[in-house]
Amino acid sequence: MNKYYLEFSKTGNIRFISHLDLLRLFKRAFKRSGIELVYSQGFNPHPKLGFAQPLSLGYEGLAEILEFETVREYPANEMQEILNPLMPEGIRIQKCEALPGEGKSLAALADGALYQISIPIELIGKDFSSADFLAKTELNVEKKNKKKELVTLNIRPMIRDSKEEIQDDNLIIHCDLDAGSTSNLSPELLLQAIRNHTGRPIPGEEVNIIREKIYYVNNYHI
Amino acid sequence: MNLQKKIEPLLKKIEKPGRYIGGELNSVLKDPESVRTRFGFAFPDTYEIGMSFLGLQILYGAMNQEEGIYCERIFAPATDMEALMREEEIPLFTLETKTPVREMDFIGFTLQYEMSYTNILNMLDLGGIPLYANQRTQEDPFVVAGGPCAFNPEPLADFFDIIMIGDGEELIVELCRRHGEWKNSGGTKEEFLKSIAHLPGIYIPAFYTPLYGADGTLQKIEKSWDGTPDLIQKAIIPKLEDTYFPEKTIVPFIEVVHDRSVVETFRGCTRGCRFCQAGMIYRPVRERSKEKIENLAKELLLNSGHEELTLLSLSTSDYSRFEELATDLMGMCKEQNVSLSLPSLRLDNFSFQVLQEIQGYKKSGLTFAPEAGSQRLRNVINKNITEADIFGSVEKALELGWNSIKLYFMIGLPTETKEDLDGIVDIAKKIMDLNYQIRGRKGGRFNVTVSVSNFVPKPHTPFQWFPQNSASEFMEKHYYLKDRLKGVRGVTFHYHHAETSIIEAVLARGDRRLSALLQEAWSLGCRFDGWSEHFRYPLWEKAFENTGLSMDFYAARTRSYGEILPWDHIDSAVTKEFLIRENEEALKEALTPDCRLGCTACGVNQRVLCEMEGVHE
Repeated sequence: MNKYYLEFSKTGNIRFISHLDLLRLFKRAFKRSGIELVYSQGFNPHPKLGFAQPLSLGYEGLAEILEFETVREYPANEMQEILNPLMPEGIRIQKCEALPGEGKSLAALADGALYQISIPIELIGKDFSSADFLAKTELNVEKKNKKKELVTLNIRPMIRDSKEEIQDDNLIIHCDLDAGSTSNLSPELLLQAIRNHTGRPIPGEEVNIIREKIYYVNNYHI
Repeated sequence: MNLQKKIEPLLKKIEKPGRYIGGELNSVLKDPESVRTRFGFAFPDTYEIGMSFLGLQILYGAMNQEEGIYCERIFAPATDMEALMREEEIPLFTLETKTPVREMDFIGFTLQYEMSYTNILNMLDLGGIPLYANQRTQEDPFVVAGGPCAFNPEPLADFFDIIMIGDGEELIVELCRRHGEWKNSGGTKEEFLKSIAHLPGIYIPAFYTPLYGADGTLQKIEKSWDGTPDLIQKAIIPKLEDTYFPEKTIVPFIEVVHDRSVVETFRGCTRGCRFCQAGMIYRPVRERSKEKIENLAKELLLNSGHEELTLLSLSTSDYSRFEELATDLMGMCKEQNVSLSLPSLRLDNFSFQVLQEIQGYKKSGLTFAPEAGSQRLRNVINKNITEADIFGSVEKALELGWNSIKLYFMIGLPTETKEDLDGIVDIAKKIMDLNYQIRGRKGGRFNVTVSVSNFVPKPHTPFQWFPQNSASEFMEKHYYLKDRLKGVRGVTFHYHHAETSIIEAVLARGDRRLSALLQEAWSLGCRFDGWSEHFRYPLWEKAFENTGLSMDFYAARTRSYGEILPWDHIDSAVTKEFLIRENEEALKEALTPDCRLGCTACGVNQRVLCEMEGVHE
């Protein structure tokens, strides 16, 4: 099996396309590149490629991961060179490396992510501190479940770490959150908890969210 | 001016922000300072619809391959984006460079369907451009239009400086070239208009003034400048083979209605259906060679990475080397993991083979468009398909395992009676019976969908004189059919809103007085009228009331052959004599054969070589 992954950034205007749009973009780029992907068997064959973690529309990503399988072995650095010119503005492939043939997919291994949440100080207030926030044992937010009913959820156990710094007029919160198939915390919900905690409305469109890194179970490194 | 910084914050608040970002694969970035002519190609609907339109890709490519021209795209913002743009006072902008549209030299609207007209006014308004041509100054862009609805541009004529009639890919480039020269010369706008008025395909509405009689009908179209032609001939490209066709098309990031590689195999149609405007105005049939089509397909797929290829024409199977072409393309697509889709196939043995091959187990459903329920009425409209054809094909389809059949009909056609409506029901019933005969009562899931649209008489067709049914007549017919189809198990019935069809008919055959109606409807809040969730008939009724115009005068009135029609000065190259003759034949329920079997003297070969006339004689 010839398995590889690409590490790429998604910044600027292109952050306004969805996860599925991005997947289609990569499929087409592979088609144009001549790099032959393995297709699934069956009536409706589709190429084997997927992201380690979907990135929400509107977020920027600095080290997003796409894994894929090719029909034969290709030199990884050559693939990077072939694919990069086919990328639109805002998508930059930083790395391409081989993965071990056997074992779980990166999507199955991913379990956490490091985010940067940037909020104008005038909206969050000067005295916000993650430490206060983390000292709590419960941080309850309301969330719609799959049946579209509102349920209350304690997100505190899903926050691994959080600290902040001030940059110009913004407070930047660096937080490690669960991000995987067993436990997943959307930064949206963290933001909701911050709103509850500070009692300030903080409109979503004023907040910038960047995903810096994806983590894997048991400190697995790629 | 680049509006990027102002637009960005809005993108976090709206649905589908990917509509407004540009930057897609194969979109063109040029330095606006380096060109003489900036053209804003405006599609008066949302991004997803506009980007599915091949004409945009053709004209965009044709203009951008010229050094002196930069063509950018403009779409109608969805209502959420429009509200924010108005709130933040952000003018309508181009997708490529986020430039306010009023900084363009041209804004060119494509007129694909009548129900997009209010969007045009809304877009001009959002762009800060005066709506009426005579209110605009030397500093404003030229507002121009083209496309099928330009064959009767009168309802919009007051809003446009220039209207292009006919094949556009050469004319639009010529227009821009001449504009570049004029710009260098420092002349007035009027001088520019006068310098291009004689070009075939160019119509300058300001040079023509319609005069009306006491009964409201047109008495005369007066020329306000002698130099302008009496008749505006449509632009015709005699051969498509060497005419520009894009090998690289813009590939949207977001999901659009049709996202696939498209090759136009031929333009025009020889069948002569009497209701069909496209079949009249795109004459004569001009084909691309098989080799050319295959090369284009190859290049398009290579440059886009598309997973789907399709062919475009008015009648896929009429291509003269269709079997060879389809066989070749099937091979090519299979090799590349690309799916091939072939619309509007005539269902003969070969087509079934092709469909088996390309659809495999999916079998999306077979579509027939008998258009009318009885042989008599099909003769009237010259739709040369018999019940034997339909049932023969259905039998074959059932044997091959198809589970769904779609049938398309029109109601309100000339001479239609209850028997013709009963014919629709009978066809659906007989297909269900055939299913039971072939597969037995327990033969599994099988359904028939009957879709009925309301006939809208169109200009430049043999039925252009015909009164449309009223909304209540349409609705009665809908209920009649619904009632009778209700009892037939396995049949689903769909029909179109009657009121939309009435407004469409008004605008299709309207005259210049309708500019006031359009402006009023738009001011009252009409936009996206082609979308059932946005169409607001009461506002249109109010617009008629406020302007003192009559819906019936335009939609429901019988015109005489002698009446001067608002589009009579637009020459489609098909003669009025031919249209009258065809209308008379219709009333006699007589068929006119496909003109491949012998020329039917429509007049187009008086202007240009007609490759297909009598090829099967």
